[in-house]
Amino acid sequence: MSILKAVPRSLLRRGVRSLVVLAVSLVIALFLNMYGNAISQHEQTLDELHASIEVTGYIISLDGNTQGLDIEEQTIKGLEESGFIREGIYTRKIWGMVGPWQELAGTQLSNKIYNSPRLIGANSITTFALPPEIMDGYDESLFASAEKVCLVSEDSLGLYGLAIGDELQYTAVSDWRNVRHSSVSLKIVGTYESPFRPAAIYCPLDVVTALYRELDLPVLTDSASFILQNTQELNQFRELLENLNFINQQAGSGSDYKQLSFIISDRLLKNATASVQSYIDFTTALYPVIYLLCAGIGFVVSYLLIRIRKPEFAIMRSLGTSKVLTFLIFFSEQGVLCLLGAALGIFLTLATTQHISAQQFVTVIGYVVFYLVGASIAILAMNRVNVMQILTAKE
Amino acid sequence: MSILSLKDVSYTYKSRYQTVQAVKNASYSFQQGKVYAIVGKSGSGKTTVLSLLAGLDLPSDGQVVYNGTPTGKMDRDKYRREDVAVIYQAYNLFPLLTALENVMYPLELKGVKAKEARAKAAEMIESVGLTEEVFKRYPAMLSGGEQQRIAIARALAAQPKVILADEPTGNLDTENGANIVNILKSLAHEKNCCVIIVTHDLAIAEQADVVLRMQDGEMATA
Ligand SMILES: Nc1ncnc2c1ncn2[C@@H]1O[C@H](COP(=O)(O)OP(=O)(O)OP(=O)(O)O)[C@@H](O)[C@H]1O
Ligand SMILES: [Mg+2]
Repeated sequence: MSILKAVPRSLLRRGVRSLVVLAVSLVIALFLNMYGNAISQHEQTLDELHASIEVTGYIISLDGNTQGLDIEEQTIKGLEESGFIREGIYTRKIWGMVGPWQELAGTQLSNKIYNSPRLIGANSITTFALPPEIMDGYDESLFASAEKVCLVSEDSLGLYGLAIGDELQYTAVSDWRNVRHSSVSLKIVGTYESPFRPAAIYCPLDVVTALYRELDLPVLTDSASFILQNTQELNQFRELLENLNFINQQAGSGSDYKQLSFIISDRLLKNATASVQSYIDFTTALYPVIYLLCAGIGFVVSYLLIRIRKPEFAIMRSLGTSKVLTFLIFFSEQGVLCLLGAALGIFLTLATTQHISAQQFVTVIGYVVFYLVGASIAILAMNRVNVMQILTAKE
Repeated sequence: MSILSLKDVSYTYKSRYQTVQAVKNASYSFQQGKVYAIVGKSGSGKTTVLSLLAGLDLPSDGQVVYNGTPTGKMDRDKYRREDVAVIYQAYNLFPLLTALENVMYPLELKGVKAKEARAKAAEMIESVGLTEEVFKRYPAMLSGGEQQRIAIARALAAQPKVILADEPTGNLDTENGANIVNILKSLAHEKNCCVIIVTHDLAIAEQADVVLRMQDGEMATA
């Protein structure tokens, strides 16, 4: 008795009943694939949203200031090395006076410094509310450089008798008590508008940083704002912020005014991704249930389809077909149909969506396994019942 | 000589709801070359005895012994494949195999090549009085009597030494019935088979070499 001959013959002659198995497997395979596709499509949408919606963040003190913060060097370093910062926009200020060092001390010195403009280093032009005017040969990118150049207010030009293109000497002073000073010559390459007097002098961040180092001062940052990346993992970033000693504003007990918060402006992103995210969460959570349901259907269908063939099975056994052979015949019939259905399902998925993930493939195979286990159990169970009782049972 | 024997055989059907003792302490030795008739009222245990002789199940008590080996100690699949054939009251043909394929089945199971099996099956079908016309028909397209004869042809195909028949002529007209009986008789008397027929038909019983009577699960020679 050849299984190769018996199985196809039986499959063809069983016609509609064979088609049922095939159709069930096909529909389930197709459904599982569609379901998986829907999830991965939404995941893709989510990725796209995260990529296209910019999330910014900035550092703020407990009393609500975003400037004059004295952010320590390691804090900035910690943030920049976190992998969540695409771009950091910093300002760093230093006190001092225009012109060379003047031998002053005590109140005289403090008055002098108080009435002199501060030198502010910035690494981005976005620091200015209105765009400054910059002379030919220079542009916005000057702040990213370490060039000894500066922007001054219109007023200051008149005040110090300077013109664009002139050199401005600035003498930075460390502190009142243990006075140290260091001078730098900056070329004036532009002006900006300022309501303050004395209005600060702006230069590239690195210029100010260099002065800090020369004066042997800890490099503190005055203000910091950021464009964030890797925004899918913002929760991870929030954890990291806690480790960097930022305090949570909502929870802030705020005893220490020096304490800083990091504000993440992700409302836009959250609004945009909320529905997609909840769809993904829901369908993913439901996935095991759906899967077990499909597998269960496969199991039950194969079980039932085999059980209704009890009489045929009994005849085979009564004619001396061994248990092994009956198992193989029934199993191969179910296996061929189920695999054929699943393969068609995969084929149809590919035909419609041009895509099937490894995971989806494994899922369909998993269904086939469930189906065949169902079939095996049904056959084994049938092999245990008494053939004699089936055959002698009166109709 | 004795080919098949019942030794103190009892059989009980156990279901969740009830237990029925269908055979009680039956003992008998069947010889080769003889036709036996088992008669008895409906429900007296005739089919049950036949099924035990066919090795479809083991007795609850006692032994069925074939050529010196108890059915409990042999490969009963092989026994059914090669040594014994049963013709059932309900025909028990494969509904999705044609008449010819049904008769070929036991031959192919024994490893006979398809072509040879087909020729042999055709010969068997013709020997029970059917023509080539029925070869390609499915059981559902055959009359009761025709199905019965296909069932007989299938039983004879593998040339078993023991033939067990449960009401083999119940669905046949007198002429065909007599034909079947003649075939069974010649198998016993010419081919030295052991033929055991369960029947209500006294005319058949009369033609048997030995008549056994069953009553309430007990068996006795008439
Ligand atoms: N599968 C079964 N499960 C439970 N009881 C059964 C089963 N088959 C038969 N019986 C019972 O066993 C007893 C013997 O049944 P059996 O079929 O052997 O009788 P029988 O002599 O062949 O009857 P009939 O002439 O009607 O065919 C009866 O009481 C019957 O009800
Ligand atoms: Mg009966």
